[in-house]
Amino acid sequence: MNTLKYVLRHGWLWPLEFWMRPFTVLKRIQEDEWKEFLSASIGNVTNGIVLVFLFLHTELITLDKAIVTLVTSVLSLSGVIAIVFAFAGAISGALTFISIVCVVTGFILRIYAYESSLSWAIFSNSLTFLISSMMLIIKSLTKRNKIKYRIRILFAIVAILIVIIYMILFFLNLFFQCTNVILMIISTFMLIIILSSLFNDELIARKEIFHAKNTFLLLFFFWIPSLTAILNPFSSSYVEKKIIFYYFFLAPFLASGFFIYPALLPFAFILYRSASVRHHSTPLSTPLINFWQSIFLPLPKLKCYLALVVEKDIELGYATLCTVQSQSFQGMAARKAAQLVLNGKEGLSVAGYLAINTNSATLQQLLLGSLLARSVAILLAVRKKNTHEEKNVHLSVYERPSAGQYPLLWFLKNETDSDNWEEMFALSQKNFTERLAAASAFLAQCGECTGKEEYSTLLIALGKLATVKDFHQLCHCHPEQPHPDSSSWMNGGWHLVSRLQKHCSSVLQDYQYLSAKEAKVFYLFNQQKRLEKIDWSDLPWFWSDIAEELVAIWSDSYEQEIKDCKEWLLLEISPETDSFQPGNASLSFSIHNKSGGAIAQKVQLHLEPVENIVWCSFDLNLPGLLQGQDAKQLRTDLLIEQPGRYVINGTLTALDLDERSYQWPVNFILYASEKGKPYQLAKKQYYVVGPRLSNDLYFVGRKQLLREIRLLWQEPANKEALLLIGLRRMGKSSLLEKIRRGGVNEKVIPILIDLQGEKSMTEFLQATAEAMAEQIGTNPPELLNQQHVGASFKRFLRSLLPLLSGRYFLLMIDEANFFARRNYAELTHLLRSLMQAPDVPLLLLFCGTYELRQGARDYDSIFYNTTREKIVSYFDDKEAAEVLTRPVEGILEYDPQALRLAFQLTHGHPLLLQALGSCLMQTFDAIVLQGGERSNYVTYGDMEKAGQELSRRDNPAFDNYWQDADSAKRRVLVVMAESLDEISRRKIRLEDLCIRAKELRISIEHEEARSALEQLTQEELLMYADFGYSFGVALYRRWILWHHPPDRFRESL
Amino acid sequence: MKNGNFTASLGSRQNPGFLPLAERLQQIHPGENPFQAGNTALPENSPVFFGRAALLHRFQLTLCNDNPGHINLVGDPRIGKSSLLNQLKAVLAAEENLISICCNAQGLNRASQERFFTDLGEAVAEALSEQLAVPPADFDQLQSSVRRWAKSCGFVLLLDEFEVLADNPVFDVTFFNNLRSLGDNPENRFGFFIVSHEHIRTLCHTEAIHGSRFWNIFASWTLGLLEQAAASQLVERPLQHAGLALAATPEQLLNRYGCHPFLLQCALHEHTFAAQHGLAPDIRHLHRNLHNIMEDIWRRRNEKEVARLFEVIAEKAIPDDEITQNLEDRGLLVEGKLVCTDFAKALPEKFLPKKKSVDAYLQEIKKDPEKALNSAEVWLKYLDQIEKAVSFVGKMRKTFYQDDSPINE
Repeated sequence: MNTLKYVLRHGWLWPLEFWMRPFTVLKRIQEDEWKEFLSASIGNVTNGIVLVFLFLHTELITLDKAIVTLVTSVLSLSGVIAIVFAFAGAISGALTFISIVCVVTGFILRIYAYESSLSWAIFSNSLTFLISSMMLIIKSLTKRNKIKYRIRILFAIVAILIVIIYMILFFLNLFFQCTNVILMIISTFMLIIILSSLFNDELIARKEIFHAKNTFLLLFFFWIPSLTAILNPFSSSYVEKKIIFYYFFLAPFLASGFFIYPALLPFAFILYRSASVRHHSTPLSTPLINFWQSIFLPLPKLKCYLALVVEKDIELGYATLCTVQSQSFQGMAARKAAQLVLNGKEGLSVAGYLAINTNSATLQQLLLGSLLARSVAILLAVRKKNTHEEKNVHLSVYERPSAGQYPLLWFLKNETDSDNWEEMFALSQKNFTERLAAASAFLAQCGECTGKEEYSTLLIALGKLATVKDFHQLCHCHPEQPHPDSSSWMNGGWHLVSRLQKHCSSVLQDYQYLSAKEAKVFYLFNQQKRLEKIDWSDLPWFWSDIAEELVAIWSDSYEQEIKDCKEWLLLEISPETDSFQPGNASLSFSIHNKSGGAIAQKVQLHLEPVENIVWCSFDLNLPGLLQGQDAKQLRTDLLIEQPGRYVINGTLTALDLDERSYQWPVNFILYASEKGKPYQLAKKQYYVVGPRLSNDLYFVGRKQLLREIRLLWQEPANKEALLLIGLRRMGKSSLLEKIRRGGVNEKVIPILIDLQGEKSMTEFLQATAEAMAEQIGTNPPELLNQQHVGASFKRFLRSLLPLLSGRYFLLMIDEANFFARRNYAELTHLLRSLMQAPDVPLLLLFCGTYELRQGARDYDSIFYNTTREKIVSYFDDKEAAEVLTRPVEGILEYDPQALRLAFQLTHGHPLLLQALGSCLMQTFDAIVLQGGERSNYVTYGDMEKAGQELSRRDNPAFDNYWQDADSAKRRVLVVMAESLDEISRRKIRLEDLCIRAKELRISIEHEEARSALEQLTQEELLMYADFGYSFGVALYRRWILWHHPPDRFRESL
Repeated sequence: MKNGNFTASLGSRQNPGFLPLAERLQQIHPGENPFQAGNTALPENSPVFFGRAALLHRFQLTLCNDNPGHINLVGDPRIGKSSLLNQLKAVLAAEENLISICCNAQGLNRASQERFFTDLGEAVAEALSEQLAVPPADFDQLQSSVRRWAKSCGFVLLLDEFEVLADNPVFDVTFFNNLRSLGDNPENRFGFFIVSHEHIRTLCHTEAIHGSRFWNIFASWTLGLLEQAAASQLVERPLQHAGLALAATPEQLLNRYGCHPFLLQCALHEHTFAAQHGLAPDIRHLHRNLHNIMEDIWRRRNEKEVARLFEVIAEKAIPDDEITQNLEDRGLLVEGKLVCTDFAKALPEKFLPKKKSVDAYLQEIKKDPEKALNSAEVWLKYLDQIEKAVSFVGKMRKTFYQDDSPINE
C-alpha cells in the first residue's frame, strides 16, 4: 500500500520533477531505489504517451499516429528498462539493451518507410558524431581505471551504435520523416554531451563547469548539423524545411533535455550508480546539470540574502553558497553573493577562509576579484593540478575568461577581463618574493577591512623569511612575533613563521661556533635535510604550500652556502681579571680571533647596564683588523659602587672582510671585594682519581643502592647472594669499602677480599678466615689443611657459630671477574655449597664488570640462578654536584652552570667528576704558584677548559673501556665519535652509522654494528632512545676523537 | 736505609724538606760554577733546580695523603725527570709518618719477583727500625706486613726507569696484578711514583703484562720544557750568586737553547767555565755533546711524530691533534716551532730518504717543501714497515730458537 501511495504521489510528474529537481529525485533514489524505479517507469510511459499525442496534434507533421506512439513508447520503455541494468551496475547491459531497442525500432519503421530529403542532414550529423566518438574512445583508452573515462566510453559506444543504425537506415533508404527528426534530436544531444566532455577536460579538472560559454558551445555544436540540414540542396520539401526551421528555432529548449527526458534517465542513473557521482559536488562536473541550468534565471534578491549570511557567519555562509551552487540552479546568485562579500569589509576574512577551506582552482578565480581577494590569492603559485592536500570542494566566484581555449569563440572574448586575467596569471607564475610584494601592494591599496593590520604584519614576517639573499642573512632574520589575536585563517601562517624562525635560531646558535670547513659542510648538509623534512601536514594546505616554497628558497641558500663554504669568524673574549675592589677600576678584555684565516674588522663590545656598576662606556671598539689566531686587548674604566658578585652580559659583534656580520653573547662574573676570598693553594688532595675512596668525606651518593642492600639482608637467614655489576671505574670498589666501613646491619659482619692479587684457593680461604677471625676478635686459624682446604674452611666457619651469636659474615669479593679467567672451579663449587648450606653463617657479594652478567647466564657459573643483580650506574645530577662540591666546601665555589656542564660532560661518572675537580684545582694551583691571583669561583669557562684538558689526557677509565672493547665495538665507537657532536647531532641510527662507516672507509657489517651497539648500550657506554644511539659520556666521545681519530684508527686496523 | 735495590726512609718534620729557592741559592759560593755538566741528575735541593713548582705541589698533594695516589711521570731523556724525582724525595722526607722507598729499576735486572718483595719488605722494616723475624717471602706476606705497618704510616715507592721493569720477563702479569692490589687497597696506604720515558699505559700494553690493569690506577704527567720565567731565572740568578758574568747575554742563550733544562745547564756550564777561566766557550764541543742528546730524542720518535716534525721544519700549518699535543707536552714543539734551531740539525740520517745528508735535506725542504715531505713520508712508512718486520723476525727467533741477539737492520 505504501508503495502504491509513493508511486501515485511521485509517478505522475516524475520526468518533470527529474528535469526540474534532479537532486531531489536522486536523494529519493538513495532512500528507496525500487519505489522510485516504479514511479519512474510509470511516469515515463504515461508522460511519453501524453507528450507524443500533444506533438501529433500540431499541424507541423502528419504521421501515422500509431507509429509515432509506438516509437515514443519504445523509447520511454527503453529508458525504464535501462534503469534495471543500471541498478545492477551492468552498464554494458544497459547499452546493449538500448542498442537492441534501437535496432528493433529501425525494423518497425522499415515497414512504413518512405524517402526523405533529410537524409543529408542525418548523414552529416552522423559523420561528425562518428569522428567525435572515435576521438573520445582513443582518448579514453589511454586513461583507463577512472570512472569518468569509463562513462565517456559508454557514451561513445552508444553513439557508435546509433550511427550504425543511421547508416543502415540510410543505405536501405528507410527514411521516415518523423523518425528522422526524433533520432536527429537524440543524436545531436549525444553529440553535444560527448563533445562537451571531450573538450571540457581542463574545465572539469579545474571544476570550472559553471561557465556560460560552455553552454553556448554545446548549442553551437548542435546548430551545425541543423543548419546543414536546412541548407541541404537535395532537400526540396517545404514541409521538411519548415520542420527543420522550427526545430532550429526551438533548439535551445529542445537541447535542454526536456524533450528527450526519457533518454536522459539511463544516463542519470548510470552516473548515479558509478562511485564518483555519489559525492554531492561530483554531479556538478557533468555537463548534464550545466546544460539544464542555462535556461534558468537567478531568484530575485537571493544574491543579497546569501551575502548577508556570509558576512554574519563565514562558515555557515560558505556552506550555504556551496549548497546553492551544487544543489540548485541558482549558481549565478551564489557567485554574485560571493563577489559582493569579497568586495566588502569582510573580504579579507572570506578570502582567507576560502584559501584554507577550498582548493587552488577556487583560489585562482579570486585573482580576478577585489584587491583584498587578490592579495590572498596571489600568494599561491598557479598550477595545473590540485594537490592531494587540497580540499575537494569548489566554489565558483568569478568566471575566468577562457576564449583563448576555444578559438572559434573569439567574438565572445571580453577584452578587459581577458587582459586582466592574463596579467594576473603571469603574476601568479612569478616567484614567491614577487608574489609577496604584489600581495602587499594589493593590500596597501585596499581600504579599511577586518584583519588588514594583522595580515600586513604577517606579510612582512613572510617577506623577511622569503627575501634572504644568502645563508648568513638567513641565520640573522628575526621576523615579527605572532599577532596576539590572530584570526583563525592566519594561524597557519604564524605557525609557519614560528617554525622556520625556530629552525633559524637553532642553526645560528650552533653554526657560528663551527670554524672548520668540513664541519660546516657536514653541518649544513644535515640542517638542510632537517629543514626539508619539517612536517607541514598539520597546517592548512594553503600555508603548507607557501611553507614548501619558502623551504625551497632556504634550501637553495643552504646549497649556495655549502658551495661557498668559507671559514667563519670565531672570536673569543675573556676578561683579564675578574676580581676587583669597590671604587674606580680598569677592566681589560682579551679578544682572540680563533679562526684560522678569517680576518675580523669593526670589532665592537657592547656591555649591558649592571646595577652598582658604572661603565665609562657601554660600547667599546677595537681599532683596525684582527687577524686569525691573533689576540688584542680592549680596555674600559668602570666604577664599582658596592662589593658583590656581578653578572656581566653583553654582545661582541664584528664583520669579516665580506662585510658579513657576526655576534656572540658575552657573559662573565666580576667579583668586587671578594678578593678577600682568593683561591688558596690546595693543602691536600681533595679529589681522588684512581684509588678507591677510603673515607666518607669523599664518598657520596648510592643511597638508594645501599638501602636496597640493607633491605636484602635484613633477614640474613635467607642467604640470598648479590651480584654488583658496573662499568670499570664506576665506584664499585669504593662502594664495597663503604659497606665494609659502615656495615649493613647489626646482624651482618662485612669482610672484603680482593681477587686481584694472585691467589690460590688456599690463599683465598686463608685470607678470608684470618679476616673473619680478626672481625670477631678471635685467634686467626692455623693454616688450613692443604689437602681438604674446603672442608677445613667449613669446619672453621662452623666453629665460629657460638661466637657469632646469630650474626652472619658478608664475604664481599671484589674483582670477581677473575672467577671467569682463572681456574677457580673448586673454589666455585665450595662457595656455591656454602651459599646453599643453611648452617654456614656466610653471605656472598660478588662485584665486577659486565663480564659477570654473561657469566651469570652460564649453567656452570657460580652466579647461575642464585644471585640477585644490582647495577652500579652513573650518578644523577644532584649526586654529581655533590661529588664536586662536598670535598671543597669553603675552598672552591661552583657556579651552578659549571656544575650542570660537569654533569653534561661526565653523565655522572664518578671517576670523571673527580678528575674534573682535580684538573680544576691543578689549574688554580698553577696560577697561584706562578705568582698569579685567582678567585675561588669556578665558572662555566673553567669547567669547559677542564673538560677539554681531560679529554686530551690519558684517562684510566676511557683507556679501560677502549682496551676492553673488541674490534667491532671500537669501529662503531670511532664512527660514532666522528659522526656525532654535543649540539645537534647527538644521536645516530644504525643505518646511518653503517653509511657513515663506509664514508670513513671503516668496514663494518650491519649485523656486526647492531650487535656491537647493543652490547655497548647494555654496558651503559652508549644510550639508546628514539631509534638513535648516543654516547653516555660526552667526554668519552671527545677522548676517542682525540686519541683515535678515524684516519689513524684506520691505519691501526 | 738501603737494602738490595731499595732505599727506604721514614719522613720526619725534622728533615729540612724541599728548601725555598733563596735558601738553595745560598749554597752557591762566589766564583763557583754552579751548573752541572754531564748526564747526572740534579741532587736534592739543588741550587740550579728551577721551575716545576706546580708539579711538585701536585705530587706532594697526591702522595702525602691518607690514601696515597699513584703518579706516572713521563718525559724524554734529559728533560729533568730524575732531577725532579730527587726534589720530590726532599719533599717527602719532611712528611711525618711517610716512608719513601726509592728504587732504580736498572738494578732489578736479575731480580726475581720474590726477591723484589723481600727486599722491599726488608728496606721498609729497616726504615722503621724493626727487626723482622722472617722476611716476607712472597707478595702475600709482604702485603700482610704492609697492612700492619700501614696502621702507623703510609708508603710511597719511587721507581725510576720503569721500562726496565716492564721489559724484564721475570716480572709478569701476576707481578703487576700484585702491585696493583698493593696500590689499590686503601688499607695498604701504598702509593707509586713511577718515572718512565713512555706512558705506563703504553708500556703495560706490551705482550706479557697486557692483561694487567696496573696502569689504570695512575695519573700521568708529561714533563716538558721549563716555564719561560723559570728558564730566565736559571740563566740569571745562580750567576748572580756566584758573582760571575757571561759573554753571552741571557736572551742569546734562551734564544739558542730554548727553555730545555738540560741544554741550558750544559750551555751555562760551558759558558761559566769559560768565564771563570777567561777562555772562549768551546761551542763545538758543547754542541757535539748536545747533538748526541738531541739525536737520541729524534730516535725515540715514531714515524708519525717524525713526519709531524718534518712538517714543522717545512713551516707548514700543523693540525692540533694528539701527535702535536704529545710533542708539545714533551717540549719538542713550542707554539708550533721546534724547541731550538739546532734540534733540526740533529736529525738522524736513517729518517732521511735516499741517504741524503741532513743539510741537503733541510735545504730541499725549504726549497720545495711538498716534494721533500712526500718523499719523507714514503720513506718513513717504509722504515716503519722494516721496523715492524724486524720486530716480527726477532719475536720468531726468540720463540723458536730462544735467540735474543739483536738483528742487524
